[in-house]
Amino acid sequence: MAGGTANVDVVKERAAVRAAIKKEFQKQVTNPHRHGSAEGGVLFDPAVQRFMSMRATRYDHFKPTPRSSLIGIAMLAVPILGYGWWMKTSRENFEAKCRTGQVAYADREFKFA
Amino acid sequence: MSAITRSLLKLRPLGGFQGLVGTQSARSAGNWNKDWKPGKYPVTPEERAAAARKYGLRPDEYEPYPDDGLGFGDYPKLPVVSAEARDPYRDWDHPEHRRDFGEPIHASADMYGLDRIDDTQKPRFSLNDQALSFFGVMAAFFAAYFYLNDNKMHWPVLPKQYPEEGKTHYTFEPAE
Repeated sequence: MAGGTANVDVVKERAAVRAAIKKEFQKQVTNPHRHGSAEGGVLFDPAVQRFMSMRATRYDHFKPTPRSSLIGIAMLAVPILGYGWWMKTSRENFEAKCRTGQVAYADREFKFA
Repeated sequence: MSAITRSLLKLRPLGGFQGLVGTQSARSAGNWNKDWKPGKYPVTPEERAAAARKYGLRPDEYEPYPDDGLGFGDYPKLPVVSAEARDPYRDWDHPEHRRDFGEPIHASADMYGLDRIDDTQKPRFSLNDQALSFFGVMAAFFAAYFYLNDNKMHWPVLPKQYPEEGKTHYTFEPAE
């Protein structure tokens, strides 16, 4: 699982625990009396449950630090607000140019008909 | 469910099925996030040992994400191994994920599934090769386009001879 140690005893211990969990999994998954566990037949895996709960509760560990705030602003506020501002100003400038006659009807990109 | 806990109390307390100790029989109220979500970031060695045991890791291989506001509490920072990088012939409990039952899941595991990216192995073509191939081909296409756009090649032709008032294109005189 975790890398880095070449200690044979540690590797053996980990393998023994893994083998025990595997054996127990096979025993439970082939247990014919497990149909009444109200879990849809899927054997409950605490690791999966912990992962899903972690994903659902990430905000509990969020703290507004300078770095996290900067990331939020740069990835969310700037693109959304900047795109909206660019759309508004570019269309407004084009509209003003057309209305004040700086752009002739024959030259404009989007004609009416 | 209680059969599992009874049989597993013989195991060393290293997570996996141990987490099922908290769940009761089929008449329990279900699994709520508040029971299974990661705890606070562990500071003292006792907290770290308890967190390691909870996730089924040894205390010396347990490492939480740093508590810098973007962390995960005491969820362990596991070495990321993509599903594609794992042995396809090993006897996995869940072969479609190449994962065993009870194995702690990496915090970004959905990104490293079999159908998603795998940057944990040595890439088949180095990034340099990939970039060179892509930009080389695109440069070739762009060069061809811009060259041919300004040098249109066709058979030598004269302008079309449309009939108009006062214009004579052909006078039907016999060749001498």
